[in-house]
Amino acid sequence: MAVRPSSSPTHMHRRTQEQLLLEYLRRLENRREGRKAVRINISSLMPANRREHHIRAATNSFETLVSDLMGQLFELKNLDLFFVYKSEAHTRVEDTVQKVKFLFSDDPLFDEKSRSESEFVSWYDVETGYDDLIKMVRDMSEDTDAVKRPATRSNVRAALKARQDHGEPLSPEILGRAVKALVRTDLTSLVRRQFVCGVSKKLVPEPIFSELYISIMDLRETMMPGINLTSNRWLFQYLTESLDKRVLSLLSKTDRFSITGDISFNVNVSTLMSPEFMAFDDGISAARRGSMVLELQKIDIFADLGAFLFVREFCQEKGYRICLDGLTYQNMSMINRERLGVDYVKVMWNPELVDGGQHMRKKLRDLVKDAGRTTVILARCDNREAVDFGRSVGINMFQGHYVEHLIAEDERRRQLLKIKHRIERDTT
Amino acid sequence: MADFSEAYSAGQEQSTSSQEKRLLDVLSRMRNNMAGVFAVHLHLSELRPSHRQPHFLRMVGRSLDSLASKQDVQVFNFTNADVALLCRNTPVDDVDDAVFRVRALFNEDPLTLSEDGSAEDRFSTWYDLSQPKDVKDFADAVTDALAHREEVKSQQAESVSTGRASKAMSGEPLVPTMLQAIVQKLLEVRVGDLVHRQPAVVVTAGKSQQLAFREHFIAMDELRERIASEINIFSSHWLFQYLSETIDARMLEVLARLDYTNMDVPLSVNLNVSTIMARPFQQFHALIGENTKNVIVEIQIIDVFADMGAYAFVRDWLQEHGYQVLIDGLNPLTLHFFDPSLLAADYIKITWGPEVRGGVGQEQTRHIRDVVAHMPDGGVVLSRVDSEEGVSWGLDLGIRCFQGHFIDKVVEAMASKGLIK
Repeated sequence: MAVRPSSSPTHMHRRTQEQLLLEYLRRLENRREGRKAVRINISSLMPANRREHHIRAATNSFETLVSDLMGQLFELKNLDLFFVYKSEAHTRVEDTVQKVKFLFSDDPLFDEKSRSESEFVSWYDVETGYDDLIKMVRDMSEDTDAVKRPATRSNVRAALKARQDHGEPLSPEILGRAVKALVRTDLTSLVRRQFVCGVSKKLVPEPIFSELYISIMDLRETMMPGINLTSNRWLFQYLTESLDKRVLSLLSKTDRFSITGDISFNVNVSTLMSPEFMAFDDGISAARRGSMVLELQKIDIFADLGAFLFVREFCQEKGYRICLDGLTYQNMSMINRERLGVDYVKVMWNPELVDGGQHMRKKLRDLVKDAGRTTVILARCDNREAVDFGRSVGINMFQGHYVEHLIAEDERRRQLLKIKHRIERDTT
Repeated sequence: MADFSEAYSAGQEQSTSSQEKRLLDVLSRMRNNMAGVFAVHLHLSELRPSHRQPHFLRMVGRSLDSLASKQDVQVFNFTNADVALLCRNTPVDDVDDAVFRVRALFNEDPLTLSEDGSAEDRFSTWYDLSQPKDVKDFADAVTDALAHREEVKSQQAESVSTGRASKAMSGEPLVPTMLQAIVQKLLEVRVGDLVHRQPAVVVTAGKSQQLAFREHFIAMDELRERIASEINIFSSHWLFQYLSETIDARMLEVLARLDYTNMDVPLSVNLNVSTIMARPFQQFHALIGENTKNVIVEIQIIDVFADMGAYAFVRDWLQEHGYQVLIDGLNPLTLHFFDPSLLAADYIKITWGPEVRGGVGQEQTRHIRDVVAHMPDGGVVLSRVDSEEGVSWGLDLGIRCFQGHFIDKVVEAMASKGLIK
């Protein structure tokens, strides 16, 4: 997959992009008025999210700005992009940055670590912050000196591999081996759990069900260290089908893996039509079915809509509930959830929802209202802002790091209360 | 678990081979004892091929299991996918519930459109076996099913497809370990001669026809013959998608050799989003220079939903550079669940298929009309049109652009009259 540019780089004495950036900024010293800069911190993404074609696409998106002589783009060794531009192009740059952000927003691994937007993009005013900028860039170029590696473009690509310390792309062979190995691997220790909760005005969480999932990061570390599992979407998707079956077998071994309360888990439509699922279904009681929520991915709907509708009907008939996972604001407004007949939909929190202002808020409120019997869950809530926003548009169910935090807090409060009662009892 | 699944499918195959005969045997043995016996024949063989696949039928079997375990009900699975229930002293309501459950599974199939239990119900037929006439009719139906075995077998080979992939193909299922060799083969074989062209025609206000564009595509069955004739490369959506990335690159090589300066109408080509963001397309882009308006890029809906961000990005990039974007892989059913006009493509392509032949519900018609209205004029393409019926169906809904075998013939006729080049 990893392609090298055909133009063979000269291995002569080349200055690094960091050095070139430094020189460029120095030349601007007396012409710094009306200049701005932006840094896109690709390096802040999880290694697996730094997919090469996305990075290339991100670079390409500055192409017209550069050809219109509006600015200069530097591709730093750590894959970050640094764009110095004339302030008259600011709106265009903002648009471009927006697109680039969007490009990286839809990745399965975003679940695992929260990233604030400001971490991904940093804006600079060359005019007022000139000295700081020079200092920062000087530090960067000295860093690369120390590594003593000529950073031509192709070396950035090569560095991409090295830098994604887990960077080997998932190849068909590795996938084949992984699928085989999965059958023998005990995944119990890789299962993670996250609650979907109602959250009251006073921020008291009320668990509704918990999602069980296999941490892809830990799976990689255990089974395929050095492999970038998500480097190819389709191969990854295939891998998830094997994972599904392992999860099903885990769930049917309740003696080794005891779970309380209602649970949900991710599963492919194809898995629900497999003999493995039939066997799983045979092994559990009708009551247990009623306590399970099957989470289906949106991509599965359009891979084969007929199959999707078929299994939805089949599973709901048997008492399972269905949740449509992975919606964003954009595709949520596009899909008619009511007709899809699912019980829940999961919308991914994104700070841009707040930036959208009243208009976005109203649209979302209408969407939530229209959802009818379908209940909307706001997932990936990393901070209070997410929950506050969700509540303001009528969403009552939340999931994410912040919700886990609220649960922990609540637990702590209960403990304290208990101790307090005990003390009171002992002293009276 | 693996053991179980093998036993399960093996058991099924063994018993289906002669279930029609067994049922006829049972009927003849019961001949004198038919009081309280009735039968229900579920005509699953008349479902759309895409619904007649083994995994669907397996699930039907399971929906009926509970009935058979509680009541005096025998289930017979015919080779042609039909199912017969033989019930003795069983509450009709119980059987009715079970039949309804199965029916609900196929809610999207035209076979279930007719009113349940009505005279024109094509999904199920009930027989009161205490009536000699019904016994005879039922036995005839079973005998027919037996006779049609061969015919049905050949029907099942008929291609069923969602977008470019088809599951109905035979051969060993594709697994990851085969991919490397197939990709290598794909890179080596000649593909130029497998590239076919199919015109799309737009019907103008004066009812005259004009070429709109020509789709260039690689015939997948021919390609498979050449690269992996023993393997069903369509058995996994995801692995096929993986292969299609290499197919894209080969296709673009072929297309790069065309002359874009003197093209009468644009060409269209199906590509992965990932291909557009990668080198094969960027090289193609460099080659065709200013002539981007002559290229329509077709993107599969599944690719759009795989990564909306990436889609929006390439759509903007393509449109900014003068290309046109077409969303492929839609059918009237998908339109029921989302409005593709929101994807801001220049064209969307809807497949004309058996599910709409014979008309669709009023509500569904209204949706299609809405979608067509939301798209730019002529922006909706009806593909796989194989008869005039398709054209009139489309025109009635406001669709003006058509593609398919029928259109091929129309274009041929136009060409012979010198109406087009």
